[in-house]
Amino acid sequence: MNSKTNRANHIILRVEGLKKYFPVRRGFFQKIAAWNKAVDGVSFEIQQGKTLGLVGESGCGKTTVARLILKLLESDAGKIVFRGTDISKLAENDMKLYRKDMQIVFQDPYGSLNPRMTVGLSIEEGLRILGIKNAPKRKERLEKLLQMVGMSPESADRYPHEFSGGQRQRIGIARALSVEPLLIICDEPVSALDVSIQAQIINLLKDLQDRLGLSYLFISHDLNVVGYLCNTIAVMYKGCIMEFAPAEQLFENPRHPYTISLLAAIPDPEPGNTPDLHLPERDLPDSSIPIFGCSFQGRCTLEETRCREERTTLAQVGEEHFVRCWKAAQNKIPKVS
Amino acid sequence: MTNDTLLSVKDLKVYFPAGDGIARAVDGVSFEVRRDETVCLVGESGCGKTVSALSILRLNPVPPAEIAGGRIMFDGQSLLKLDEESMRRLRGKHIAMVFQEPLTSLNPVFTIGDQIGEAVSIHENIGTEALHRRCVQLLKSVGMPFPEQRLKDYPHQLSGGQRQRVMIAMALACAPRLIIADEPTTALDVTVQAQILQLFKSIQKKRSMSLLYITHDLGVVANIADRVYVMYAGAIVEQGNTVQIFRHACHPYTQGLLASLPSRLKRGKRLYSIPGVVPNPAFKPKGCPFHPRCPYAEPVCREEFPEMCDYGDGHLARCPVLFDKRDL
Amino acid sequence: MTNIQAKEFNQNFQFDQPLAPKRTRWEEFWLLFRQNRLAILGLFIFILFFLSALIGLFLTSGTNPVFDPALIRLQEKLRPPLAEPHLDSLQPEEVPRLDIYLMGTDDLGRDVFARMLQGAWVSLTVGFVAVGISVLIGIFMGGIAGYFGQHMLINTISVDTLIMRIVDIMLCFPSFFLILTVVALLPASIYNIMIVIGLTSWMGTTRFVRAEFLSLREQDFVAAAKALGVSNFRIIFRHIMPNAIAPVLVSATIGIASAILTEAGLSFLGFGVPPPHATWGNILSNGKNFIFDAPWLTFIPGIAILIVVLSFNLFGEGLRDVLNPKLRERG
Repeated sequence: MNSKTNRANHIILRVEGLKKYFPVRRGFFQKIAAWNKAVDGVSFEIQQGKTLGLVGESGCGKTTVARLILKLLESDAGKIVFRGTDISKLAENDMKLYRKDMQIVFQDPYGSLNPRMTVGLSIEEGLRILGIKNAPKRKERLEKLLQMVGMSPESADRYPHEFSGGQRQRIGIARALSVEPLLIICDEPVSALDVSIQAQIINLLKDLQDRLGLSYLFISHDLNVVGYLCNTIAVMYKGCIMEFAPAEQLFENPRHPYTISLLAAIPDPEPGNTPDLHLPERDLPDSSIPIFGCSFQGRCTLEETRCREERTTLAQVGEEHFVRCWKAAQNKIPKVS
Repeated sequence: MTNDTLLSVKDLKVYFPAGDGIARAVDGVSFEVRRDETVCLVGESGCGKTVSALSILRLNPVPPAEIAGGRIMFDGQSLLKLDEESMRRLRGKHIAMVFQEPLTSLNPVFTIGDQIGEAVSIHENIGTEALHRRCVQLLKSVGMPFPEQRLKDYPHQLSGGQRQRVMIAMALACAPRLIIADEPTTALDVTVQAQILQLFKSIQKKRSMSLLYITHDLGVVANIADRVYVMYAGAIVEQGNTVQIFRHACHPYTQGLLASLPSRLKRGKRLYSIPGVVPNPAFKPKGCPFHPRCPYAEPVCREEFPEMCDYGDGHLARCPVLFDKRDL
Repeated sequence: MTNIQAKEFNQNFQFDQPLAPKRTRWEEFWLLFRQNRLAILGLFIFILFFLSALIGLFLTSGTNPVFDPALIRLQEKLRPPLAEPHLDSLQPEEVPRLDIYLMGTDDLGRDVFARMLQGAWVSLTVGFVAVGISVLIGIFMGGIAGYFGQHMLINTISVDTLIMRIVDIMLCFPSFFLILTVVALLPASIYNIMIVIGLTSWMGTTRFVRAEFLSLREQDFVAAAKALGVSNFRIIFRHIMPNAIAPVLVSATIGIASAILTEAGLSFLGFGVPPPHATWGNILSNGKNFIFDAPWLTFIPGIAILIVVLSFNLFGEGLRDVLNPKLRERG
């Protein structure tokens, strides 16, 4: 029993059955023609000091999940339990208590900083929230934050357009750190950066985690980055989590056909290693057309009638390893070498 | 230049005005593409790879761009000396281009059929019936499902991967001898990217044409290239075949790039990262442009622009410092 | 594999080597603005106009002004510009300053130069105050519509819809005639005119402040501010507004030109500032009766209005080019 409560204490964020449907309006009167199920019952948990990777192709709903957790968007259903409290129904005023414990780092280093505010002012916004009213003290904290992300204190007086993409990303991280958060949601933080800069930012995120004990929800489409950085990985497709497993397991023993094709498609920087594909070309990604059964149908090579008739559920196939595919759960997926 | 060479670029220099000075976006780049081979130009943003490629088709707007020197030979013709009319006839017919963003490269108000048809009829006199058959056949050759119906679709009705297939079909329209592809898969998802890469490979095999592929993604390079040119700050820093580049990289920049690629196999280990930032083309450091970020930099690197050093077998790297140390 | 001996760098390596030499915002603004000759000309005329209006106010007001715009000398009526006064027929206090009628006299023998100076101040204040009012209303309405647009009022209509329909209705009125009607009902006074012009010209500003807010609201930096827990008030005024203000400034500059025109039009029709106070519009209006005998009475205020309006437009367009963030990024 003791170990169980211990474990519960170590979970910083638990998401349960999170849903967000966007109306698709059509016609002259803008009637709601259908619902786009951007997030359709997503559940996962993040352990304190650990990194959960959320992987998927563009449009699979991973960014929406980030915005729902931060309450930048209201969720339609589900629970967001942050440090033991369900914040999904909290009003903005009560939310204030939790805001500073959860921060976000964005993908686009150009849009994420206010072009009309100096770097210093942008970061100081957070220090104000923290309640540091004394200006010299704020200045001191600001310099420390800048140093923490590898920038010189002089950068505080400059405007974002004077910096390169990687530097802006560092500034974005410093802003997120300004309120001393426990959890940082990284929404594709390196995908807009040059290869040589990516490694710098990844190292920085890792160092900060080691130093400050941060937890990360790391959203990315790049399996190489996720594989390097994350402890557990959730693979998302069309608003659902298809597979959830510790990183090693997911790479060594992927179970879901989607995960398998995703892993096969990673371009390998080893000459001669050609990705081996058996994936039909996807048709129009129109998620507003309601389908029944597995959301991967139409692209799956192993599809059967049962896939179109039966609601899918996450089935446990190993310790901490879950998969949303009845065939995988029954071990009926042929192994790919 | 051997008989085998289809395209050769010699000492190309493209400059842009930038504020008070000039940005030397491409500063003495030489490379060649042989018949039936895939050559990759790889480099980070701002290294001049796209500008070099656009110069081949003379698509850089002049002004502001200025071709300050060099020679581009395509199949025995000097492209920089051609008049605009002959250049226009060459584009699409002999050299075709595929761009990064398939949504903006297609005109939203015309159907796919119109646009592919136009690409064909610009260069060929062809009847309506024949044109239609040709379009269907082109779409089929790029692996588009239901090509007949797709011809009537507008670009927004297709997915990103399908749009890129249409772009490739348009590039193939007149059976060019060289296709220049500028980051054609960067905007696509990994699984779609893998399909497009496969498509490029199979087309190239079937049609015997050359491919100049521009990308920043080393994984893609390893997958598709026969030979690789690595660019940094407007210059080629290393060239060689895929095995030479990926297994025996000889330039500190190439080595650094490869070492800094994250992968699950490096878990737990600290990633190597090249320090510093990519230099602004308008404020390039003196000497070797890579020296401020280079772990092997010596005083001479700060003064002299390095020469290409020949490692034999077509493998060259622009780093005399490592070249001198190669046997140690 | 690669043969790099991960020779690590000093951990304290500073990553920021800013790309461009440091410049303040104003230096950068001026660098870009300087390149637009027409805009510089506009700015120059604008400053000239501003100064002459300000100096004119001091020279033409008070009990014994330097230039008296109301002094009637019937014996000296309709003298052409640069005419010398007939000193023998004038009282000593009636002799014009500088001993010359710089811009001639009107049908009552009043010095047109003095009247133009007085009118310049009227045009300037009408322009600025009217536009000030319209910009304030525009920013307020546009900001609310853009930022709080989705909030529903009494569950039937969204804030955005409500405000934008009001804008549509206001735009339906031919505003010049609306102003004419209102001015006809209200006591004639310069302040009423300013307020009326201001109250009927805020719709354009509202529209694009709303558009700016709608797009800025979705930007990541606004999301970041929300995630930090910054209050709505602060997000609107500290984070979004400075980014939305540039196009407002541009349209305000052009709006001043059109307010000056409107005021001149009203004065021309006799609904403007009551006589004997001079405005460019009523000088023009008086002059039309003598257009063949004394063309300067029409041409001088006409050309003055043309130049001032043109200079404001040129300046405004120059501003728009410079404040365009795309140009800025390149600079």
